[in-house]
Amino acid sequence: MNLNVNLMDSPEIQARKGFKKKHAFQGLGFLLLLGVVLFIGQHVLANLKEKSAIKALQNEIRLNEKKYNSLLTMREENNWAEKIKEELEQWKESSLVINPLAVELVGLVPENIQLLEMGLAGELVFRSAKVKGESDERLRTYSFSLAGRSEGENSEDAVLEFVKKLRAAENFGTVMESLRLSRTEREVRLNNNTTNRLFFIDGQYKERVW
Amino acid sequence: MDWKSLEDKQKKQYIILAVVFLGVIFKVVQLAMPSGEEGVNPKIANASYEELDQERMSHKRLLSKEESIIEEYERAIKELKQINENYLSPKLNTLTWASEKIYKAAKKVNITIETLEEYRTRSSFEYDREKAGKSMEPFGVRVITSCSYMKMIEFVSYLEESNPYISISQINLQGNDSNPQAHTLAVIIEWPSFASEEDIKRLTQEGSS
Repeated sequence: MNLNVNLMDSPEIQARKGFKKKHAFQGLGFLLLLGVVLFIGQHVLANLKEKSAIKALQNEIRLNEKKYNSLLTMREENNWAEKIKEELEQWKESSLVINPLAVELVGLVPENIQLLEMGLAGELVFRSAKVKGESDERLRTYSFSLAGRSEGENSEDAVLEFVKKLRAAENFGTVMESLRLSRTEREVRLNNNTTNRLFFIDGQYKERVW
Repeated sequence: MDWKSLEDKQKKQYIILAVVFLGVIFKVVQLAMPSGEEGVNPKIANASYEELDQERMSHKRLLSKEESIIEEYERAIKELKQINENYLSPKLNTLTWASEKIYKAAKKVNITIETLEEYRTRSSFEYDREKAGKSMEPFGVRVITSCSYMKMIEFVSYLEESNPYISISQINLQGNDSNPQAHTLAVIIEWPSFASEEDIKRLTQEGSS
């Protein structure tokens, strides 16, 4: 038995069918709209929250920005000044101090030796790195020369003894790359029978980084 | 609601309503989006939350060292200024400046300066300062005088003690057999000097702003 057929008129059945379809669409539409609204709402709320947090951070950063930048500049300038001071220290450390050297020499020269000439020549050298990746070398070099006269019968021995002393000396041989007697000759300029000898010493101080 | 059954006027009203609704939604979303602000560093204005948080942390770290940074900066600049004023050769009237130092030393040890002239050290024109990464360059003078060995020691010692940055780069003592009190002494004395005017200006401005 079909109640619909029996109890409802044909227009009523039509109306019921229409009611079902219409409400189903309306419900679906409502759910869709609700979904969209909820999605947008959630997104908006999340963004509002982030925006507010960002704003708080921006304010905090902005508040300290001037002081922060000023401290950054100070640190930069401090590094610059320290670098120059370091360079000056290197300059100082690489320079040969003449006073102790000249004073020590006085004590090393025996009585029968007379110095005729003393020379010290420094030079600043910039040497490019030979291999890529190695740093360039900045060096200070000093060459040393000494000429003198040894008098008396044992003049040769006196010269050799003097060179030995120089080699062992604190401000000469021990801090030098090389120190050698380069020439020695009998001083015949004034007297052909003389035992006096002229001698020449030269040396090279160890390179110093500057 | 049947769209087809609506009158044209009603349809227009609905369309306007829909456009307004969409406009409102768009505006709300736009307001909620993080945006740049005027007067704020663009780097900060357009940064994400994570980037800003990192920035804030680095600010915090630096600001926590404020006292020591200021102290170190002031000390370094003060020291460098003192060194510059007392020991480094100036850029202007350099020979006059050097002459004062040399004559003072000569007077102190009682010797007479025969010659005093500017000396262009080999190094100053041979090495590539820029490449060497140096801020300083040497300024040199050649001094010729007559004195004994002991006077030479006194003269050189006085110069070295009066300026820790002085460098006696060359020395030549030529003996005088007839008069050991008057050997010929030639000395080349060098002082470090700022190579660039900009560095001097930078140092002068430090601490004054």
